[in-house]
Amino acid sequence: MSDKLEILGDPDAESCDGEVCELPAHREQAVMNRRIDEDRI
Amino acid sequence: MTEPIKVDVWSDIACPWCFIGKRKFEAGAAQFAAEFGGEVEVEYHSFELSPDTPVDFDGSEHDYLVTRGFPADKITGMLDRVSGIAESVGLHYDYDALQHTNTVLAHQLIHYAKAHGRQLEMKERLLAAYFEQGRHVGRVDDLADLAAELGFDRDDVVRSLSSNEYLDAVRADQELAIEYGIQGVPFFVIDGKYGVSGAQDASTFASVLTQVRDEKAAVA
Repeated sequence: MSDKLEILGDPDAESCDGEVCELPAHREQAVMNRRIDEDRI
Repeated sequence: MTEPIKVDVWSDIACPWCFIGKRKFEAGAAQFAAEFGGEVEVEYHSFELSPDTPVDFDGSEHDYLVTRGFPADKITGMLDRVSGIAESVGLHYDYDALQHTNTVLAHQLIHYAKAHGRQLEMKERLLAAYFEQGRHVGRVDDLADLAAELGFDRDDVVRSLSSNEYLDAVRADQELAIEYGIQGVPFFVIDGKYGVSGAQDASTFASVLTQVRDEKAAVA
């Protein structure tokens, strides 16, 4: 994140990162799965 | 009377948390207005989560996610959870009807509406069309129909989208997102100074807006 901004709020709030839009508890694993998939490609 | 607090929001159409986050932000802004009479000026900016998405995909959202490597046995539960949270803020997501598509033209339409002073209306219309009404938001004719329903000149919308009139504006928003280091959406930049990521609780948005208001009052 740029140092132009001071980040506020809950860092675990739901957001979409690429095509990964799961609930926070599942996001980390989903990102990992996607990266493994991309590496395989 | 204090001047409105500027809130720049990076967001995509094909982003379930962006619509939910929009509702939560609106609730937070309403709390801020009720408590302090504070006003916000909101501007939406383009962010494509998946720019390589095809315009047309013959299948459901579940089918699409399978093609992208998501485990099939997890997808239904995932979509149900998202839909449940959407319901909690008054949104009725219909993943069975949703038509997955590329959103670059929809972003151009939002810029078109902004040039006509109606950006917020178009943003809301596109999100509802995509998540709640199963409308296609990736093709010129479909987008022109949606715009015409809001009273825009359909022929002029077709002209604008067909010529990629606002593609540079979309790209400029994306460049600015990179400068800010934004990787996920929704992302709210408040008063050009504070970053708030994701579909936060309404109270969080109200709290940040109040903080900005207090800081501005202190230096006034």
